[in-house]
Amino acid sequence: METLHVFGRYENLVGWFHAPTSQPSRSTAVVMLTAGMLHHVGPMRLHVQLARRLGAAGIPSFRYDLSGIGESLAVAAGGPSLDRARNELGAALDLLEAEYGLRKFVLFGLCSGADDAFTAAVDEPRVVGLSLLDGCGFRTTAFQRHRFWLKYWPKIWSARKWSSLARSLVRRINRRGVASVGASTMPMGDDIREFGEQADCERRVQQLLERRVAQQWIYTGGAVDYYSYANQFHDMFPEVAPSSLLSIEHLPRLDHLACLREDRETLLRRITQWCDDLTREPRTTTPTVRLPEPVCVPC
Amino acid sequence: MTSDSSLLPVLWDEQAGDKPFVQLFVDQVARTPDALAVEFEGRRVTYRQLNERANQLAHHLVGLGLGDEARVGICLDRSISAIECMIGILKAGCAFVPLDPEFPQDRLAYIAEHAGISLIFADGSYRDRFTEQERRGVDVVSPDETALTAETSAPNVGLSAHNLAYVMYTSGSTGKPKGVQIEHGNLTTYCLADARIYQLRSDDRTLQFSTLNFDIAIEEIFPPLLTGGAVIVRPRSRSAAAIELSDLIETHHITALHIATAYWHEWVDLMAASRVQVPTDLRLVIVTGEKVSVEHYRRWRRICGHDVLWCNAYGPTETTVTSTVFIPSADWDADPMPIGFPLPGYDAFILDEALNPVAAGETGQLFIGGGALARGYLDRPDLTEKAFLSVTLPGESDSRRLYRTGDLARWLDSGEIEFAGRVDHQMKIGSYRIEPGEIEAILNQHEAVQESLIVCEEDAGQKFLVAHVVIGQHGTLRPAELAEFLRSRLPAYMVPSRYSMLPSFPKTINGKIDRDRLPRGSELETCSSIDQESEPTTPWELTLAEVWRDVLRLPRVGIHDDFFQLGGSSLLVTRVITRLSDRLNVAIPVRDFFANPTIASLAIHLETLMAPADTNPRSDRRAISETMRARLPRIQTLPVMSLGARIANLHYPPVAGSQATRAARRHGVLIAPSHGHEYTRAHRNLQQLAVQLAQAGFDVVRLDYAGTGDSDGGEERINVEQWKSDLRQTAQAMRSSLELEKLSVLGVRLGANLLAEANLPGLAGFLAWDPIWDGGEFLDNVRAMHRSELADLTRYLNRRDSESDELLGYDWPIAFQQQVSKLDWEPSPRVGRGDLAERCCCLLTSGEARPVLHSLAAGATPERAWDYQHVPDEVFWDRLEFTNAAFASPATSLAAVTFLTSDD
Repeated sequence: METLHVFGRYENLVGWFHAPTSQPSRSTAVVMLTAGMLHHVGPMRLHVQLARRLGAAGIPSFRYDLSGIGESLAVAAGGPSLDRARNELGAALDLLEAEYGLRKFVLFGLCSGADDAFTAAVDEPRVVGLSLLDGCGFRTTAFQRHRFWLKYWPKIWSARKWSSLARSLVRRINRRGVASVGASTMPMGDDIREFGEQADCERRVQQLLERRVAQQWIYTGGAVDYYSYANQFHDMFPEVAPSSLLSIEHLPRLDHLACLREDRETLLRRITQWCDDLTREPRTTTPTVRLPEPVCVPC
Repeated sequence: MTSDSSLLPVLWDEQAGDKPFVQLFVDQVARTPDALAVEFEGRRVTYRQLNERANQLAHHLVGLGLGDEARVGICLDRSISAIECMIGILKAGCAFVPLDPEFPQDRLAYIAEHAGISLIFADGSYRDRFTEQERRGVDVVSPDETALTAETSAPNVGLSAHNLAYVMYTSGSTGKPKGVQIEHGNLTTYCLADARIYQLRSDDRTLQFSTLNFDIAIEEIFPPLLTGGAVIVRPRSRSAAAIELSDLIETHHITALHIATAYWHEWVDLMAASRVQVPTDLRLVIVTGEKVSVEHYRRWRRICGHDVLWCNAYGPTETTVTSTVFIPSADWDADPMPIGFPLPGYDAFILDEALNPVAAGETGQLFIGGGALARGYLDRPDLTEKAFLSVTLPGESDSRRLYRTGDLARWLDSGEIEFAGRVDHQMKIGSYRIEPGEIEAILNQHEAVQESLIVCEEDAGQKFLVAHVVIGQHGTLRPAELAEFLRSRLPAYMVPSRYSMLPSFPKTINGKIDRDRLPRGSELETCSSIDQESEPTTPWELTLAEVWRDVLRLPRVGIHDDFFQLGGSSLLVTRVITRLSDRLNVAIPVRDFFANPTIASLAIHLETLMAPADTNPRSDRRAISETMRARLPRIQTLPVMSLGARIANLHYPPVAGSQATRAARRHGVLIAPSHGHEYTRAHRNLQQLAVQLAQAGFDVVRLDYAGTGDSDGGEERINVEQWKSDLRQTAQAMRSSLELEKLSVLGVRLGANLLAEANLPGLAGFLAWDPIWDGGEFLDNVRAMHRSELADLTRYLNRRDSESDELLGYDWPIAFQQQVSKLDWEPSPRVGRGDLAERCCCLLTSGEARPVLHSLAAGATPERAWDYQHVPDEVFWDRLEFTNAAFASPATSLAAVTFLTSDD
């Protein structure tokens, strides 16, 4: 059962609630935040597919659009985007609490949705879990070496890539020291990401762990320009102690949106399983989190 | 031959201006037969190959009995073929007539008829534009499909410098364009002057950027081909780079660039704002068409870190492209910039009304003489006599033939010429010369128009056309309606963007229109209606309003106007962001702009960002949000079941409040989206269109088909029959639940085809936006994009080749693929007859769609004919890199709203 809700102070936000299709119904819901400029359906229906998988596992979920995205109307009258996302998330959680009596939530976000979820969770006590796909990342000492093997080594054998690389190098040399500007069509990348400072992110991870907020960080091959090896998370945030509440997965074979059917299946299974473990009731232990083996890359 | 200067004496010493162009071209072919002549999208043609192909085409024309100045139309995109055709036509003794496919049908028909064209070389996608000409016996052929002889030597055609080379049509004051006749000798004189003054070199790579019906194309193509250089034709695919022109120049190592002034200004702004240097390969830049802004020239010098020969060229079409040029010295800095000296082989005179030369510093009218003067206007001896004069100057015994430019000018002490305006009301917008009389003549054909006057206004360096229209005391006419009327009859650059609707013209004591008392600037009307409450007042609002006006080129914007509904696109968003960053050092993410699409909300956003942390938020923040909210619809659902599946319909009821008077249309609009790769980001565009229609008083419903979006099901529901049922059930629910008096439908791409086959009864309007005319081709395209996406290593770190597994909107079930392959636009007789609804309109942003649709137009019955409109958006449905391009379709949305509202 999927129900449309129009909510927010100005009734400008639009979202769909998915009631569980199997019993017993969990009392923790998953809330999906929009990624970049894509709407609540998610890239190639990722959010719809995830909502239905979760529903089959008895987990209610809600997917909605931030103002100015998808169906939601832009009437926010200013404010930084992270603050706006936090306020609008608060409105969504209020709605779910009022309508369905839900008081505990797991936030799921991809790309900028991950940034929004990670920021909002710190101030939102109702959040008990975070599932972040290609969330924030910071380059480390080993980053470049791993990136070479992951990103450039396969391209060495591609003639098409050589010619494109040559053109790009010439352009880069000509523009040395010169700032770049946005693309001529809708920008796809950096301008919608808001990682914040590395130390601040590390602090937030710790704060959330102290609050017993479970975290699933999944990095795909689409994040290779800032995340290139399995243990990078621990190198980025050395002060964060290993915890059973923390699951870090590096899936370099997947692209940013998990477009291939087999990749999509991998992703949906991992997220659903993690949410299922986290929201299982009665919760006798902390979720069973499998620390992944580091990805083996030739070096 | 590689020496860059040795060619010029050869050309110059032979008094080659007396030779036909093709003779000099053949000489050049003999000099460097194996040098690169033309390059286009990876295909390279040497001088020998170009010459041989042109010879074959010439033989073909001669074989058809053409020659002796027979006019041959060319309706071709920029390409190697187009250049081969031009030279082939010249070699056959014929003259080419550029035909711009973007022109309205009537204008093309007039030119073809007036020029007496007997054959047209047209790209396949443009052939349908000449159905009527074909019926009258004109051959319309594609050069690539023309069967040519094996004979590659030149045909034996006697040519002299006085033979006609081409006829270029320009705006005419009588309401019809006039054809300027250029002879071989004119062209040769010009090319030699060009080669000499711009120091053309055999290692030059000149960008062919302009469309072929424009003077600049002559400049880009012909002089380089006499000096051994290469012409690099701009590729069809658009670069995704931030500064596309810079990217083109760098990618193709362009050394010589001819560019329209307005475009050059924009390019300089973009480079300066981005702190990007002028590409280092570039050695020659010729700016032409309009007055150069000296401020831009100063900016240019700041961002140009190497030696570039920069030239400001001036010249009417009647003097063959360029007649004077100004090349600033290294330390030059003055305002205004002169137009320089006459080119070699050209003469310039500034004469008073009695045709006597004026003294230095005095203003007179500029006359041009010399070997490049056109023969005159085709079949218009009256106009020719007025413009081309035989003048005996004081102290001279023989008369000279001079062209009266209609431009005022004065001699500077340096001996250079300074432009001083127009004698008449002729105007230039961009690089287009416009006769206001031509627009007025069309305006006056509108039944509600009594009189009209077109003027040109300038605001912050941007020129725009203004239409002052007399509609009487009780007349009612909206600017949008008038613009639509003009758009179907005139090229886009001739459609005014500002209007004033007047009961009568203010008159002088002599009974003439008192131009000084006409409304101007902020008194003019656009599509935006601004009340006092919407005027910007705070510093941020004022700043943003200035940036918006500049970027959107509007005289006024209200603080509650939605950027995207004023014509904003994603490209313009990036421009606003760049300007804010450049001027105010403020960086805002794109999504913040989307969340704050009005000046009021963006101003608050910026104030909040820039204010100290302990500053209290503005007290009117809530009021502004409420104002914005009041202008937007209250979204609901309209539940529908279709073949057992729940269909997610979103209902946008009419917006009450400011447009309450229009909120009771009882007219519903069902929007049927497309499906496939364009599905993801195009979504917001359709949401904005739905909001616009709701604001115009319509009940709008948008659906997700079963198996897509928010609706039930997965791929098992992806089925044409299911989707047609979804449309029928939704239409039925709209009629029964919303108490509608009328229902119209709007289908996008595949949605249009589905609607056409859904057999919806009793429709008031049917709007098809770029329907798929050939399902098989569409499917092939989707499959090709799928393969390309998998093979490329951009998305995946390793090549992925499990084709059938791709999810990116391509995972269509086999049965669905088979259904789509049969979804041609024409299978239903109702489509062909245009009787799907009371009114049928087809909006085309893709040139490829035209052939089928125009053939349908030809077969439609008069009472139910399709209204075909070509809108200038570049949506690129069929290109992978533009899956988000539907964001940039403000003109299509406006055309859709205009069509639907015009019914009420």
